[in-house]
Amino acid sequence: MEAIIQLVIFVTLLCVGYFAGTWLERKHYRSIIDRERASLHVLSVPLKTLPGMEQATGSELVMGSVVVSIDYFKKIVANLRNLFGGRIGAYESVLDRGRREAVLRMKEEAMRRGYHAVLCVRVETSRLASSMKQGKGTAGVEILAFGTAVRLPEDSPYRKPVA
Amino acid sequence: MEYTPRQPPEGINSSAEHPLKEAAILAAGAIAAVVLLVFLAGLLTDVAVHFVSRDTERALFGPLLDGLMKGQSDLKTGSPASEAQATLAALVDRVAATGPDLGYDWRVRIHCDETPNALAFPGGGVVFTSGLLKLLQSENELVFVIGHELGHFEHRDHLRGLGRGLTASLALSVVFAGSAVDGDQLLNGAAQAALAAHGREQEQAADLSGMRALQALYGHTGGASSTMKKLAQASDEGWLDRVDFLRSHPVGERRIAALGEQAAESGWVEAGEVVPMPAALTSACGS
Repeated sequence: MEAIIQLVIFVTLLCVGYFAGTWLERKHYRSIIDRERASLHVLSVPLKTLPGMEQATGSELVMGSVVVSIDYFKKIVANLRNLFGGRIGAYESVLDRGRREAVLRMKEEAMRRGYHAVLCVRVETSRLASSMKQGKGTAGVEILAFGTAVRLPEDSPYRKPVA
Repeated sequence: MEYTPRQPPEGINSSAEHPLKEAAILAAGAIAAVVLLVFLAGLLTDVAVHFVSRDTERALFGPLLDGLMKGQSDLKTGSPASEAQATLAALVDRVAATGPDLGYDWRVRIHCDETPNALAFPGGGVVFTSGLLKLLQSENELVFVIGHELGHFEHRDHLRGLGRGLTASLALSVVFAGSAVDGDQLLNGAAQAALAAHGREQEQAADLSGMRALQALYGHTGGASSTMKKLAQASDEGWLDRVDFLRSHPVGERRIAALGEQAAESGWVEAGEVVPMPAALTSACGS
């Protein structure tokens, strides 16, 4: 009796996690692809500088940060994966979305402030601890992208027309 | 250096494999691992049980059994509860005398609870609920239940059950420690189903002991199948109990049919004169 109730709760959570998680993930990917296209003209490279950058008329630190969490379904699949080892495919898409979203937010921040390119781009990830499991649980991960935004003159080869 | 903005292709940092496929393969693997573990734990217990002597059993479970039986000696002499107690204990001794000598000093207790149930406790403890005594209508039926419980002692199921549960959960916690913590329900369900499957065979063997006791005391096995039917009805009152694979005491058509087959095989008479229930037993817990 108790076992059946537990099983029903478990399966319900699993279904909610799967359907909600899949729907949100698809929606997010659509948004990411659209916005990446819209911000394609903003150069963003991990290099500290490029030839001709001395023309820049202004620079500033820009950041994009995102906090993502996994759904219940992904959590269970990843936990099972821990038994056998191998690629945790369920997490890969979450982190992929997180990194791309963080870089996008950084670029959008640069665009909003009137910059034309971002140099020295770095991406960092950190775990947010949860109070569950004696503080050893994970509430989610924060992915932070940051770089140096530069304002370029009209004739700079790095300044591209808005798509 | 010419810079051409280009959008990256999809699927570089994430895999295209369908998540449900991954989940199905992993779950099947984990469940198979759990079932195998429980099975191995069962085998291990079956072997280990033979090395536990009655003395070791008494030493291990004696204190627990004393706790379980506490209050029995406080019963006022001549009170209905004490009379019921003595009648039942005498009946248990009579049934025990029909089978092989198991070397136990039987300790009997009537537990005041409306749910019909009986259980065998390591060290020689037999507990009957007042609900069961009310449900049964003849001494024959009661003797079948007593014989069934004593059968568990004969096959050492009372130790096996404890041992299986213990070794299985130990093995599970060692192997899955810190990994599949959140898949617990799934894996526990698999473990319980595997344990219950073991339990079913034991129940059938104990039924046979119950019938042997009936045959020895009354010359026929009447009362066995009627007891099973009553217990089946009592447990069917909750709809959730109908899920067969989760039940450790499957009281169903199959088990009742098995009783008939066993009687026929051993050449036992299936019906005969019925001895009424001792009056003292019906008023064990008042009302």
